[in-house]
Amino acid sequence: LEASHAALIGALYVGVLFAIAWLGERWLSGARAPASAQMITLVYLLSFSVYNTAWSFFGSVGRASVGGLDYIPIYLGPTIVLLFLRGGFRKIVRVAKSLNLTSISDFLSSRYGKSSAVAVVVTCVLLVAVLPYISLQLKAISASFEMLTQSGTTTGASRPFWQDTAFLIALSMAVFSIVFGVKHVHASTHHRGLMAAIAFEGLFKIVAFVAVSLYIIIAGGVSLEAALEKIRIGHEYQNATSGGFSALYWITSTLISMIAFLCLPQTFHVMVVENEKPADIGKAALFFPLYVATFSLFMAPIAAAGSALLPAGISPDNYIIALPVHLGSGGFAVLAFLGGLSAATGMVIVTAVALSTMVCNDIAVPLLVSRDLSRKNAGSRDISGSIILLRRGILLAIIMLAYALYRLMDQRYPLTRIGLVSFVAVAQIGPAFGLGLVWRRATGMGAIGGIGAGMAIWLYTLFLPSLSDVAHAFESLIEHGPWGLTALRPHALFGVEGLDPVVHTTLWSLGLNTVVLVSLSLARAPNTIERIQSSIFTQGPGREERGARGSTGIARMEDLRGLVARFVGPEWGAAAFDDHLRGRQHDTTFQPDLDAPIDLDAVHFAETLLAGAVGAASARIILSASLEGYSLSKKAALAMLDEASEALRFNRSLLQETVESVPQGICMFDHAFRITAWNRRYIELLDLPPSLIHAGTPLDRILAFNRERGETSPINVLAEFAQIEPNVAPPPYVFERIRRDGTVLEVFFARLPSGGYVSTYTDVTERNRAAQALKDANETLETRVQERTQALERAKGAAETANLDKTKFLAAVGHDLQQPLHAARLFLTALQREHPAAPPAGAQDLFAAADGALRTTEQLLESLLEVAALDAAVIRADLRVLDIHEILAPLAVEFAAIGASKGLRLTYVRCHTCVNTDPRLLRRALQNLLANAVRYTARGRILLGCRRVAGDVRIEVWDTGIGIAPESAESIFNEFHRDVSPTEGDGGLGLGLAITRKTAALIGGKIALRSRAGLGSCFSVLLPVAGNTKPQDARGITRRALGIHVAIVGADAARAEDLRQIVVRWILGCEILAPTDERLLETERFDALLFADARSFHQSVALRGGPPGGNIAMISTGDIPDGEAGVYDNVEILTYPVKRAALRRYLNAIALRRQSGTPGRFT
Amino acid sequence: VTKRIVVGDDHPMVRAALRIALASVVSDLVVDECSTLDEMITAIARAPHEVDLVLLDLSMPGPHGFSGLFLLAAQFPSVPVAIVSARSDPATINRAIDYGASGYLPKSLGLDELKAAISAILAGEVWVPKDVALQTSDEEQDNVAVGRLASLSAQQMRIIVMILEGKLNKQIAAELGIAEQTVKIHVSTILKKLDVHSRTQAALLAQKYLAAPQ
Repeated sequence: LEASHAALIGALYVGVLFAIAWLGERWLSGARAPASAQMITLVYLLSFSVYNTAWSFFGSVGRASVGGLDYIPIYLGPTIVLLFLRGGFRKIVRVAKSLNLTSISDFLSSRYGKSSAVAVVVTCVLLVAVLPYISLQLKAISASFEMLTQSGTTTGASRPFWQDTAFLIALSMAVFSIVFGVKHVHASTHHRGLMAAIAFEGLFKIVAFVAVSLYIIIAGGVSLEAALEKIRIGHEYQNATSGGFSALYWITSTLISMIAFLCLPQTFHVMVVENEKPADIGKAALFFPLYVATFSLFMAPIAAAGSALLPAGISPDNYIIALPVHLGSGGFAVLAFLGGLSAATGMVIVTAVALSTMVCNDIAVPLLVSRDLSRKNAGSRDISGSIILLRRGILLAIIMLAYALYRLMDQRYPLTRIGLVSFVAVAQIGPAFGLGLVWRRATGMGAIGGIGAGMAIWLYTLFLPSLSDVAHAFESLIEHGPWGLTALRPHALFGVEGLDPVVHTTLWSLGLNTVVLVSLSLARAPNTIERIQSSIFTQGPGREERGARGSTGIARMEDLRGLVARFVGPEWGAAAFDDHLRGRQHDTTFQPDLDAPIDLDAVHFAETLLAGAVGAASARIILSASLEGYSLSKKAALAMLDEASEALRFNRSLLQETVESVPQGICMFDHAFRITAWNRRYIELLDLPPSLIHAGTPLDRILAFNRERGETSPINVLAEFAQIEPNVAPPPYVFERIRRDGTVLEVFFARLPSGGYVSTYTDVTERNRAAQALKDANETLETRVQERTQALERAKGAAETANLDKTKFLAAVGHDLQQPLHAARLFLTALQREHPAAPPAGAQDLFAAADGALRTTEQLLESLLEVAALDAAVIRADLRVLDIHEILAPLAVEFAAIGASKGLRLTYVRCHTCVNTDPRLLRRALQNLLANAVRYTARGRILLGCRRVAGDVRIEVWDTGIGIAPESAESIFNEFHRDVSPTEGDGGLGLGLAITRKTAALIGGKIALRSRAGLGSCFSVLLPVAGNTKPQDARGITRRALGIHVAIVGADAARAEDLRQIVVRWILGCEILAPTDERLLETERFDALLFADARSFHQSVALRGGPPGGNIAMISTGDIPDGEAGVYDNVEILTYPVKRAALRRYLNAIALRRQSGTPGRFT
Repeated sequence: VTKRIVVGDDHPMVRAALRIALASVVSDLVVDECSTLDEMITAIARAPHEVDLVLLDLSMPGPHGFSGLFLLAAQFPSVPVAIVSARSDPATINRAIDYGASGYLPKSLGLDELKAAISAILAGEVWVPKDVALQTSDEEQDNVAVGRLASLSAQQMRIIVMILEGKLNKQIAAELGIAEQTVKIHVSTILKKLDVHSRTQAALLAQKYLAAPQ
């Protein structure tokens, strides 16, 4: 192929790349972005392929052709990370997102207390390790270009650079990266255009690789056997050359590639910084292993084809291009070339962007800031522009430096060699990275020391010897060691011989690195900021809480906002700051008060914002330096920043420590009483087997375990909490529990607002013992006091008993006497019923007599009880103004009837006077007088009437009976007095007049008597007349309907109507609705819904997915299905045919609850 | 159809008399005799839908006065309850009906009246002795208070009766076999439902409306 054609194709490819990035920028970002979420996910997945550089494309084939399957570990590492360490990987992304981290060096510096030193060291290590790696890409491009154009031995590096393809590519990549990769000062912003191009390259290279490989396999006739054979030979060769210690090589290579996968600047950038959705990580974890597996699959067959078909002089690294050329397909050769180009450029672009960010933020910005802040007019100039410019310059410098390195590099140096050497250097970051995520004690000093030691070993045992091909001076060093000290030979340190140099270096460097890191970390305790940061990285980011707190009076919000704007850009920075202030007020219209003093939250936000632009370490420097300007000492400024970081985090680890260190046992449960958290003390105190306690263990199981070993709690919390209505917030339960060994535990059980439960257990054995001792000491004193008190109480009790209220006694006796009397009468009537048809002669009379006797006894008892009640003053008058006729008329009718049976005539003289009295009591008093009149009058008449006397009215009862002798006129009103023996059987105890007098007294009436023995008597009651008031209406004589509205729901109209007929008389309102009627939902409208049949109920339930609210009664035909009852707590089930009494009672109950003003539901 | 009536009266002789009297006025009858409220609840709970009527003596031992009426309503809202009592004063009768009873049968009732009463109640009427005029209380305050009492659960009704008897939470807990803390929670729910602020107020309210007439 003509070189000019090949160059044109290359240029076209670069053009396509620019176009995709430009379109990607337009489509995937901005407000009008039509990009779907799936598109962004796809881009993210494909961008992982920056890990597959030109090294994968060319070098791995080379490795496969000399070392069998030894190329595999490079791909095994990422696979292991993604498949088995996914949790850790997620945590890395989460932490990086929450802290706004911009690069791997930023990540590590942030982990080790936002240390600038760590940032610088990591940046330098990565620069040293990755720069040759970029050169390698350029070399691969150049080599493949030469192979494609068949220019034989001349290489790009031997031409002037302006004719060198690699230079042109490098330059265009620099331009590309500057245009699409360094747009904003905010380095943690997503570069969607750049990522779109990277994703395109990821897709392109695998398609190209697979296509070319398939072509080679088919056209070159590679059989499976040949490929396997190639692998076997490679293994034998490997065994022969490196002593066969292959397992060690696999382990170390895998370890290195795991670290490199996570710590290479470019992979960290695409995987962590550019991650937009945490959910994508899970998808990537499945996708990327498949991606690399596809790559690996074809390596061996190509290697086999290469060694079988190609002449010996061709480097195995170039097989992928050389083979199509050899087989005569120019098209596939171009495809292979473009694939390699895409692999190389992808890596160069992302690496350059990532490295430039690191170098700029970690090395250049601190210098810039210290110079800027030392100036007089510091604080006014916008720095964000200079930072972008600086970053672009650095990017260009990095790529040019890599190009220069490539020009210097020896052409014979195999690609994989450089790759592995670079990887081992990158791996030195691994211990600081890995331990930093799991070990809280790891400090910045340890990290720097470890990396330094590891790098020294790397330099001495791997890097220098690798130059031996170029600089022969190193050969003797390798052979004999420095100054002839064989123990220090670079490839066999301290006699560890026979290892592959890479394995050897890896073991030594990583080993020493880790040892130094651990020992230096243990040597000095971490400082405040290290402690804060390490907890974030080991525990994961906590929940951030917003809110103005810890107001500090040293600077104003305006100053902080200005500072942010200077570094992050005037518009974007100020807007983000204002948004934050608004956001924490939860009010989008809130106008931030920029004159307010700054608070810790604002400082923390400013720091995070700055970290996104210039990295965590520089952000800390900038903020502390500017706070220093506000009369804070440097130390105070740093302390304030630390406090800001700490105060805003809900420190989980601190909480965990606290929970573990309190003397109480703590155990938490979720709403269903399953364990969610506990501390060790809990297990200790309750002596539970640790295997029993794990998240999700139901409380039931613990209770069952305790029951089995014979320990029970005095309170069954499960049962107690179950009783409490869910809307009631119960106060905590506190009780003591005695364990079998005598320990006393105070148990505290409470429901949490979130719905779970917390229980704490305190050992109060000692406390109880102390309390007991105190109690014992008081015992003697107390006993004497108690004895005296008891003696007094006994005396008092005796007096009280002796003085027992006769009323109570009478009531009790009276009630007990009444019971058998009632029973006797019922027995008697039942007996009478037994022989209704033909009663024995005289039996009816006997029945009547016995019944009369019992009735009299009953009445006597009633009187007795009434006197007792009057004496005890439990009866109170309920006064109202009424027309006296209201009382007298019915009495007149009643007693006229009774009198008539004795042949007496009763005359009532109508009277319409208003009195203020209790009608019931007045009626009772007059009843007694009238009864006496009837009883003691043998013949003649009785007169009932009223007479106005001054302001009073006197009700008089005249009779023509036996009369009362004047000497008895007073005594007849006493209890148990009877003036004469009863003429007939209906005698009394002589209580009637006593009752009458007492009753009248209650309503302010006075009883008087005028009588002449043998002629008759006049008993009268004198009552005060109510002023000129009108009589109040008598209370509702008829009982009102129940004050409720009911809807009858029924599909069967006839049945619903039947039901309506039943209930309509009882209640205020009633209507029939269809089960589908929307009005059923208006819970305010009806006090109860009455479903005429189960079918309409189910229809209504099915229609709305549940029963309507409020009270519901359902009339169910036939047996009530088991599942039906108790499903809905507001549904009462009645049987069909409906029992009217049950229905009435149910409506009564609802009406009753309704009176309280709320439609009470049965629950 | 078999009728099932649950009779609650502490006096065995009265129960026997009631059973005989009922048997002679209702054909095909099953009577469950109970001497305490708890026994009644157990008897009803066995098959609430089969119970046609409950006859409750106002002076049963156990819960106090009218509380039994509320308690049964809270637990079995659709089981009709009529009061049987030695008392026959209109005030007590009116109160029983105000509190949702299905009828009021004085023990001095004759067999013919008993028969009329039972069949009227089973037909869904509210039966009281014929010389008693039913009057609904016009006092809004009374109605609201009674409505609030009716909204208590059966357990809460038991507890307020014990409060009325002057029992401490500890004693109430022991008697009901529940924890003292649960009693406290019930008490605060009771105060909320009755809209009062203290135990004393709750006890006064209960005393006013629940106490059986002396």
